[in-house]
Amino acid sequence: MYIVIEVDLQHVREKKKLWDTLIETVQEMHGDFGHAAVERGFRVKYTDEKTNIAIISTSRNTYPLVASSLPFVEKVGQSNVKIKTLNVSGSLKHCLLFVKKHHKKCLWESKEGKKAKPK
Amino acid sequence: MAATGIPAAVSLSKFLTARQAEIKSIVKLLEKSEHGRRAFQTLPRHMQRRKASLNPKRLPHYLRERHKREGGNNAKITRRPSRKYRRRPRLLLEEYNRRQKEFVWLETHIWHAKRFHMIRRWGYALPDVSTYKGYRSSIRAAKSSCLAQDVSYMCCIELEGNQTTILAGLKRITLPGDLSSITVPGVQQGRQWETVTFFKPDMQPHGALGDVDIMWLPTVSCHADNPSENVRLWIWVHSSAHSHIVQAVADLYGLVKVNSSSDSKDQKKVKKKDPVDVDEGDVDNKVVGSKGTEDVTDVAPSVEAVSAKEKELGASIKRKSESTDSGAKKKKFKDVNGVKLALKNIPFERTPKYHNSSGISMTLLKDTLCRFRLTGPETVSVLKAAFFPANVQVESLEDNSIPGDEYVKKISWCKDYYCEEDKLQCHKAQVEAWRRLTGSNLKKRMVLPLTVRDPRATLPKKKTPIQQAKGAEKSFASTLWPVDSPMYSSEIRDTISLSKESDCDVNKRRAELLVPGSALPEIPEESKLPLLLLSRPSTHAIGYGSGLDIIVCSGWGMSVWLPIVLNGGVAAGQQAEANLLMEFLTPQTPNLLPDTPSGSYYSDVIAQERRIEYFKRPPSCRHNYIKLSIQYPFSCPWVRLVQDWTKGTQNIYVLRNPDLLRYLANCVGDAYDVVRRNKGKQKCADEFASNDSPAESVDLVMDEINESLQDYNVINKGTEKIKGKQELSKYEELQQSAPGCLVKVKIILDEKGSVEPCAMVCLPRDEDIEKKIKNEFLEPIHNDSQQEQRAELKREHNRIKRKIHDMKTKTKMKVEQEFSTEGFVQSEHTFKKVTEMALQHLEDSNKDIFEKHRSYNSNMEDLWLMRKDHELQCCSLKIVGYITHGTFSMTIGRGAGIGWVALKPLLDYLHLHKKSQSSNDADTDIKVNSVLIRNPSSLKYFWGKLFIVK
Repeated sequence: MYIVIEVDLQHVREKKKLWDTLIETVQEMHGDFGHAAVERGFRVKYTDEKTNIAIISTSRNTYPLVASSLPFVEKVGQSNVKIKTLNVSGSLKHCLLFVKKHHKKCLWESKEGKKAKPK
Repeated sequence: MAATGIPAAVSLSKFLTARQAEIKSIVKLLEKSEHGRRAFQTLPRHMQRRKASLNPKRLPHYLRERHKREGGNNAKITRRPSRKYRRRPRLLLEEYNRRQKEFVWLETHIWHAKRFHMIRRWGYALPDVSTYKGYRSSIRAAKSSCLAQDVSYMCCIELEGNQTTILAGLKRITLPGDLSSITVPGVQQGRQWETVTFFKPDMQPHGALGDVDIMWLPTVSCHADNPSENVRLWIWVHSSAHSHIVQAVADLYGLVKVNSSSDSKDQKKVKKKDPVDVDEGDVDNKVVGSKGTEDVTDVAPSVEAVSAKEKELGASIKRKSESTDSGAKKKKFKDVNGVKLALKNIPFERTPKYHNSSGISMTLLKDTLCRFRLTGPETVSVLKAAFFPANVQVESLEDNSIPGDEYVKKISWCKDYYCEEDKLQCHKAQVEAWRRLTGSNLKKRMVLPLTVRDPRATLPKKKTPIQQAKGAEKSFASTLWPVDSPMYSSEIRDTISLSKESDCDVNKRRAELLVPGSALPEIPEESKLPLLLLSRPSTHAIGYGSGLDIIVCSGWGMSVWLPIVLNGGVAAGQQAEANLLMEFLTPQTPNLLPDTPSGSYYSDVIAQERRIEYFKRPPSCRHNYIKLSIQYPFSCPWVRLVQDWTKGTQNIYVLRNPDLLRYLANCVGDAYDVVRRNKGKQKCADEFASNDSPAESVDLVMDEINESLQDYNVINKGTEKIKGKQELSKYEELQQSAPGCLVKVKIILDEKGSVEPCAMVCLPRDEDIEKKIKNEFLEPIHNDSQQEQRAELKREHNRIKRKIHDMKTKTKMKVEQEFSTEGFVQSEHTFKKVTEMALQHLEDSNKDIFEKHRSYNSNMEDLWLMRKDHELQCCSLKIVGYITHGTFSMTIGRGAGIGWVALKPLLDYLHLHKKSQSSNDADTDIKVNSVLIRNPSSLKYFWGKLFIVK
């Protein structure tokens, strides 16, 4: 499963850092079992510093463990961050399509002068 | 923006551009994504094409590159078109003419191509060797039955003009002896033919062009020997020397080619139109031949005479076709024979012609006559079984015929020709003489014309063994055979070729017979075929090599060939012919003579073939010719050989003077020695018998000895003084002609072993003669002086190879870097192009290195052979000649070969040897003609006997 998240990557800088933080959180939340189950196939596939978008992949059976621990991430390194889950989908392609759609929406809203509706 | 520290202000433009850029990159990424599906699958389903996997052009061009990367281009069509499709009759006929445009096909090509390996030589596709084992059977056939060969590649040149002028010209290009032989009355009346050698004008004996057969055509007034009369003669040339001889004859008489641009043009048009015509013929129910010829008349109205005649011919054929069409069976009719003849120079007007102001004209009859060569004692039996004289009684024809009927056109020429009483009588005499003909009375080179029935009517159903022909030998004489023949008239030849009845019709008539496979009864409407038979006397002492040549009009080749083969003739190819050269000593064709231009050209060609074959093997599996000390393993260096023995000679020539040859043969022949030593032939025969040689070989050698004995006796008869004087003068003559002179010899090995082409003929030294009893004589292994050089060359090559590789990689890297730094989007195609250009630039700037890299293979090959500037006499024995064709001889039962020897060393050797023999009376085992032979593949010298071939 691929999860599209929004995170302030200005402070994170490295994929490895993000990965470490996430896996630590899973360890906190679900213990050694969680760590071991999630670690395999858990990757940060895509990051974009300018728009603060990242895509992470997990295996399908451990996806709930990851998804449930995402809201509890508070710090990456020294800086405080908050992770917002935008979308979950089965393929990277659809994640990218979603990101595209998401950005388009942003653009359209700013062009029309409308505010994005708070979710 | 979900973060704990929310920024106070956001730059909108920055915020938006970042998103825009990401959208763009995502779109690009998604489009480029090659995962999950192949390029052709990206198309909507209704635009996908199944064939796109084979043919990338079925895809839109923006997908093609990706498609190729995915392996879509590698799919190959492995399936041949089905046989059914390939062999549709329409395609077959089209193909028949198209495929023989580059190399001319013989008329029997398809028959041969099914049974022989074909080679392409002299502009023709020729059968080389049978796909069955035929080596022994072909020689056996030539020895005891009948060997048949299609020699239609022999080219005929017709020369016409004033007799004295022609003879004056021929005098300049032939030897005096040859000229006198072709001015003999028998030859000039057309009863006999002669073989002469043509030279470049006024250069005899140098500058030979090749052997030609000369036939004088009988003049209208046969008996009046008027020198100012116009005469015609046919010159038969081997196709390898055809162009040289045509050029020489044209220069000799100052002949200019008649401007036949229009001719050739419409010839081409006809050629082009033929396939189209075939199709039309299918649709319109019309005849192709007539249409083709009528087209000519439309295209070239300037050549009025031509067109009128062709029209006439065309009309006659058309009428014939109409009559067939109007018959009960209305079937689509195709003139297969006409289409097949379209490429040939038929009718006569199409042939290339040369003219001069004094009325001499030359016509090239190349490919307009078929010639077959039959060799062997049963030739006449085969011919008698295959051909039956025709009944040409015109009166009987006319009585039965209704004017305008079909058969009248078929045999119209026959009616016109044989209406005269003397022609009819002539034919009767010919038939009478034919009845008396047997194989044994073909002693001279005679021309025997005969008109026979359509050979297809009497074709046997299957191959039949040869039945001995019966003939009254005593009453046969060549004078009985009148020489008039319709073959000599070009118009009649054209009619015969163009109005040939199709095989299909003949077969239909045969199918109606009560007994299947029996011969058709002779009916007046059957077509008649004139033949010219040229008898060839034997070329070998025992009577081998005699036979007949058959000349027929073009278009009838297959109809004549089949009866010969089905009645017992054994078909032969080029390789069988080459074997006969050695076994029967048949005359050599110009491409095998060392002193003709075609000879030097074809020896180069063959040398190149052998060289390629040699270097195909890895070094460990081929002979090291440096160690074997063989300087010329692939060809025979005649000019160098002669120059080596006589400094400063430029031209080589072959000794052709029969007197000198006879004298030389007498000197060399072992008869003298045998008489002196053994005083009788019985002992000699015993000696041969004790060698366990087959009886046949004893016969042969005995015959040769007998012959030379006779020569010896003839010389002995004269008084001693005269004989001495004659011999002295001849010896001096020989000595004078020695520089630059080659003599044709036959070598027979004494013991076991075989002779290979390019084997060296060496003269024994005195000490070798003593060693002969042991018969163990080896050339010492030579030092391979070039081994070091080869190693050095290889090292250098490796260095260069590495350097070039480095340079290329560097250049490629550089190009790649430039591309990435420039950063603009480029297609792969441009990238490739730029890389190529850079590599080309690299090559231009480092020319010498690349040149070395490229020439490595040829340099290495040269280093594997002895250097050409090395002295010729590199072995322990002196080389005097080379073998051109050698193998195990079937007739002798020993290894034997045909070759050429320089005259000068041979004479010196004979001189020396005779002196030593006269001084030393003791019996030696060595005869005068004993020489040593060494094959290029071995170090061993074989003892062999040398015979001069006349």
